[in-house]
Parts: sequence; structure tokens; C-alpha cells
Amino acid sequence: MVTANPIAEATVPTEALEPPWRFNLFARWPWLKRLVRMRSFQFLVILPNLFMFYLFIISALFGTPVGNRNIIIVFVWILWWFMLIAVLVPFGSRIWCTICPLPFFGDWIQRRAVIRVRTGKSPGTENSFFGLHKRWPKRLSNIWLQNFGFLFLATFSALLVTRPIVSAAVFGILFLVATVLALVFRLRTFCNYVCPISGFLSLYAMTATVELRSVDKDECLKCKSKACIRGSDKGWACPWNVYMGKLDRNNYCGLCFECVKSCPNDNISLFVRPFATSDVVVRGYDEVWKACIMLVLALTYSVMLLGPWGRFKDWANVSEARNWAGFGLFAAGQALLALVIFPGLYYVSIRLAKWYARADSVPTKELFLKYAYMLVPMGLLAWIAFSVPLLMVNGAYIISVASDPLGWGMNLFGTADFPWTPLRPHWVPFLQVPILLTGLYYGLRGLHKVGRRIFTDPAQLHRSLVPPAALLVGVTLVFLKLFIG
Amino acid sequence: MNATPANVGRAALLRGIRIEARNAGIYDSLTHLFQGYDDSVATIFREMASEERQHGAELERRYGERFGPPPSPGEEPKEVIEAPDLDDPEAMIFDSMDVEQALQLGLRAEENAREFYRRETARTSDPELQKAYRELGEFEETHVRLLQEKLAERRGAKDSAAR
Ligand code: SF4
Ligand code: SF4
Ligand code: SF4
Repeated sequence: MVTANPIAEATVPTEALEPPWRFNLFARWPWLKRLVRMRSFQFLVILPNLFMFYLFIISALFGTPVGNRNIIIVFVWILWWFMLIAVLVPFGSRIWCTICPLPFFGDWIQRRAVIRVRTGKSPGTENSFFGLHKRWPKRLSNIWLQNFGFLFLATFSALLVTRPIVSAAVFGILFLVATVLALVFRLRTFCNYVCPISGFLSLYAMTATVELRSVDKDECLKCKSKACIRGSDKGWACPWNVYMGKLDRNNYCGLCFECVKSCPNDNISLFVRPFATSDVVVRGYDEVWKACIMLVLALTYSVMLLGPWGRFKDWANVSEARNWAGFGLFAAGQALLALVIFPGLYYVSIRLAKWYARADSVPTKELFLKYAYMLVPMGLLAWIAFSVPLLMVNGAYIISVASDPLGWGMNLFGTADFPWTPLRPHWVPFLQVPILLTGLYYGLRGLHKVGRRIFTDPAQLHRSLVPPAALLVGVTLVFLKLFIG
Repeated sequence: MNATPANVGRAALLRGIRIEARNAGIYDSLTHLFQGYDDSVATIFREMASEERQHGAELERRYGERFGPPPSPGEEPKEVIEAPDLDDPEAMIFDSMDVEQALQLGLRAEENAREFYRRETARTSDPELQKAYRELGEFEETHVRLLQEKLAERRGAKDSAAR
């Protein structure tokens, strides 16, 4: 804690620093705990997705190449994306990872079992794993690969969201890489460090209204087995390598519920909590850059897909326009904005914050990392604001494609000829503006909350908030300009 | 059990035996967790587990001399003396725990245990119990010193390597 004036009368009230409320769901609904404790739980929830995944690949290979007539494009990039960003992440944390089919075969090979647990002595665990079980290189033990991977995919998004075969190729590669890595490296190395989806899931899961945590930390302190991370005869060692005993943020818990099964003290529960209030610690530069990349991508996507600038859209859509120079300009501009310009602006705001608050004793790095939390709720809500019109305008395709998933002229549910009718497009700005302002509100609130943990002197605290808050307001204005003109 | 000085002293010794056993168990878990992941960290925890066991054995010997063989452990000790534990729940993901941090973690746990016994020594007016707690506190003090020495050695080695 740092104050400009250590004997300052006014101090930030300590009750303001108390953790927010949480509500124990397993205590309220014991059936829910029984459900996730079933050994077959994860397999049963992955199975339908595995089937869907298979269907997507088949439809990409043998179905129509017309994007909005093919289930892989319509279901993945309209329905799944919207559900993920607007529902699953904010209300379910990484619940997508509970049902994600990508690591299924890797897990299966490692465990040589789909449901049962094998006890044994694979290094670091009480379970027996197949494979080389190697440790991921220290230098890559961060989310930089995920950052670059996501940025790379985002650069080719115009291809990805219009060409079924490209989408299938990308998912196929991810599937393969996840499986191969599971053979060589321990546990869910792919999910921890490689999966490009994981980066933004981890970041935005911080805002989620649920958390899986130990009920009583003192119990963990006394616990000899540490079965949550090491595994036991009841559950596999935490695939994500997370230690539940001290877990205090959602980022890297893949909600597989193995620890709920293995904890011998019945000390883990699912809690409901307020939105974007509990996990406010950004811990590394990789996470700060993730937040910057995501915010910038929400911006460039809005320019590309929602704005009146057809030229940018053409640049991004290289496969149709064949304008390689334009595409190069777009790719370089986007990368520069996401990796250099926006983080640079944020850095400048932090230097200004230090100067304005006369906070010489606070390391710039600390402020840079901690204040970056403001970008998390802002980024998530900006993405939701961007995704709303996608669903409203293109949602009708979901209904027609459900009846004719491969574009072969089938009519399974009698909805194949459902006409493309944008849903209340004139409402879009009226939805986007409040969503965006909610992001700004939670961003500023988070900034204030984080600041209170650093400064005890209110005057100094408030001065330190001004420059980053101004940046956040500036970002909001740019989005508003894009959304409502 | 009546609260005679002998009984109170016996209870204190038993408590010490169980706390040492529990902490040894926790160090064992941490050893296994880091085995094959970071063997240098695992080695520190293994050494600590063995220290705790030695101290537990020493307490058992004293118990045996005074009161006969100790009863088989029933309940876990209820009091929370901060046991060795991972500080960072994501340490295994981000590979952020090195030997120095493992030593620091152990040091903090031992300091907590020492403070606990010191507090209990000051709090009780029973001379037998006071004596037992003091001895337990001295045990922890040796742990603290050992770990401090190791940390200093490590930092010294690091400094000379940096030069
Ligand atoms: S991290 Fe990626 S691959 Fe792993 S479960 Fe989550 S979405 Fe699936
Ligand atoms: S196994 Fe249960 S009690 Fe033990 S550390 Fe893990 S969550 Fe805590
Ligand atoms: S802490 Fe680990 S074992 Fe528990 S739900 Fe999260 S990822 Fe699964």
C-alpha cells in the first residue's frame, strides 16, 4: 500500500475492499453436486458436441461451399460465437471447456479410459497417464502463443467465416494438435498454452457470475493429499494444473469438475457471484496484451463488418477481392494497432497516472498490470455489442440451415425455406449503446476497485484513475461512433 | 483426561506429534507434485518432510519416555497453524515456483508454527505445558534457522553467479 501522505486523515474505507457476496450452489442444490460428481458427467456432456463436430466436418467436406447455407459456418460463427461471448462466458465462466470436444481424444489416450479413473504414479499425480507426460517449456508457459494464434486467426477471419472448408481445416488442425500434444506433454498442455480460444475465454471468464472454489481455505491448508491437483482414485489430477486450495480467479480453471470428485474433504463448490467484481487481478504482460488484442479486434471487426467502409471489408476478404496489397495493409495495421499502438496508449495513460498521482513509489509495472483489468469488462461488452447485430441480422440462417445442414436441399424440420429476415435491425443501436455503456461502467468500477488496493489516500487514488479512465471513455466514444454513426 | 499438569503436558506433546506428522504429509504431497516437474523444488520439499518426520520421531520418543507408546492418531489436529502450501494456485501452469520460493514457503510455515508455540507458551499458566510448548517452539526455531541458512546460501550462490 502506498500513500503520498502516510498520515493522511482520509483513507479509503476498508469495508470497500471486502470480497463480494457469493452463493453456494452445491449447498442449495445438492443434485447439482451429485451430477458433476458422476464419473460419466463430462463424457455425457461432450458427446453431443463431438457428434456436432463430426457433422460440421462432414458438411464442410461434402456440403455446399456457400457459407450461409452450410451448418459449420452458420452454427459455429453465428450461433456458437454469440452464445459463447454473450451467454456462456459471462454467466458460465469456462463452461464451454466443460463440453468442448477438441481435447477429447487427447484425454482419452492419456487416460486410456473415457470414464473411469486409473490410480498410479505418473509424475506429480496419483493417477496413471499414458504418453510421455513431459513438461511444457518454461519459456512458453504463458499465453503469448494463444495471443498470437488468435490474432493470426482473426486476421484470416473473413476466410474463416465464409469458407466451410477453411473452418473445417482450422478445427481439424486444432483437434490434431490437441491430440498430439496430449501424447507428448502432461495433462491439458494444449488448453493451457496453445488453444487460441482459451486466451480470451480465460480473460473474460474473470467477469463470470460463477466460480468454482474451495469452500474453506483453512481446510485446504490442513489437507495432506492435495487431491484436487494431484488426483486420487475418485478423480483425475487437475487437467489444468490448478491448485484449488488457493484459487482466486477463474482464468485457468476449465470447469471439468474432476477436483470436485477427487477432494476427500468435500470442500469444493460452485458459487454464484456478482458480474465483473471478484477476479480483478491481471497477472502478467501476456494477459495485458490479450486484453488489448481483444479490444482492438472488437474495434476492427466493427469497422469491417458493421461500418460503412466497404473498402476495409474488401481488404480483409482477400479470397474474394484478391487485393493482396490491401490485405497486407489490413493485416499489418490490425497487428500494429493490437500489439503496439493500443498497448502504447495504455502505457502512456499509466505513466500519466503515476505522474498525476505523484505515485513515484508505485512501480510502473504494478500499475500497468493491475489497471489493465479495466479493459476486461470493457472488452467483453464491446464484443457482445458487436455480436448482437450479427445474430439479429443473420439469425434466420440458423433456422433454415438446421433443416438443411449440408445445403443439399433437405428439409428435416420443414424450415429449410425460412426466408432471410433480419430481426428488428433498427433496434440494433438501442441494444448496442446500453451494452457498451455497461462495459464502460464495469471497466471504471473495476479500475476503481483495483486502485483502492494500491492507494490508501483517496485523493491520490482518484488522480491515478483519471488518465486510464480517460482512455477507456475515449475507446467507448470510438465504439459509439462506429455503432451509431 | 483430567487437567493435571502431566495430562496437559501429554496432550501438548501429542498435539505436537500430530502437527509434525500433518506437515510432513503436506510436504510429501508437495514433493510428489513437483517430482518430474521441477526436481530441485521437489528435493527441498522432500528434505522438509524428512525434517518434520525426524522432529515427530523425537517428540514420540519423549512421549514414550514419559507416558509410554503414543496412541494411534485419531483426529487431525484442529488448530490451523499455517502449514506449507502453494502460494500461487497457478504456479504449476506458469512455472512460477523456483527453489527460492519453495524455501521461502517452508520458512513462512515454520515461522508460523514457531509463533504459534510461542503464543501458547505465553498464554498458558501451566508450567508443564509451558515447558512442552517451549520445546516445540525450539524445534520450529531450528527449522527456521535451517531454512534461513539455505536461503542465504542460495542467494549467495545467485549473487556470485550474477557477478
Ligand atoms: S481451452 Fe480450448 S481446447 Fe481446451 S477445452 Fe477450452 S476451448 Fe476446448
Ligand atoms: S483436496 Fe480438497 S481440501 Fe484438499 S487442498 Fe484440494 S480442495 Fe482443499
Ligand atoms: S480446478 Fe482443475 S480439476 Fe477443478 S474444475 Fe478446474 S480445471 Fe477441473
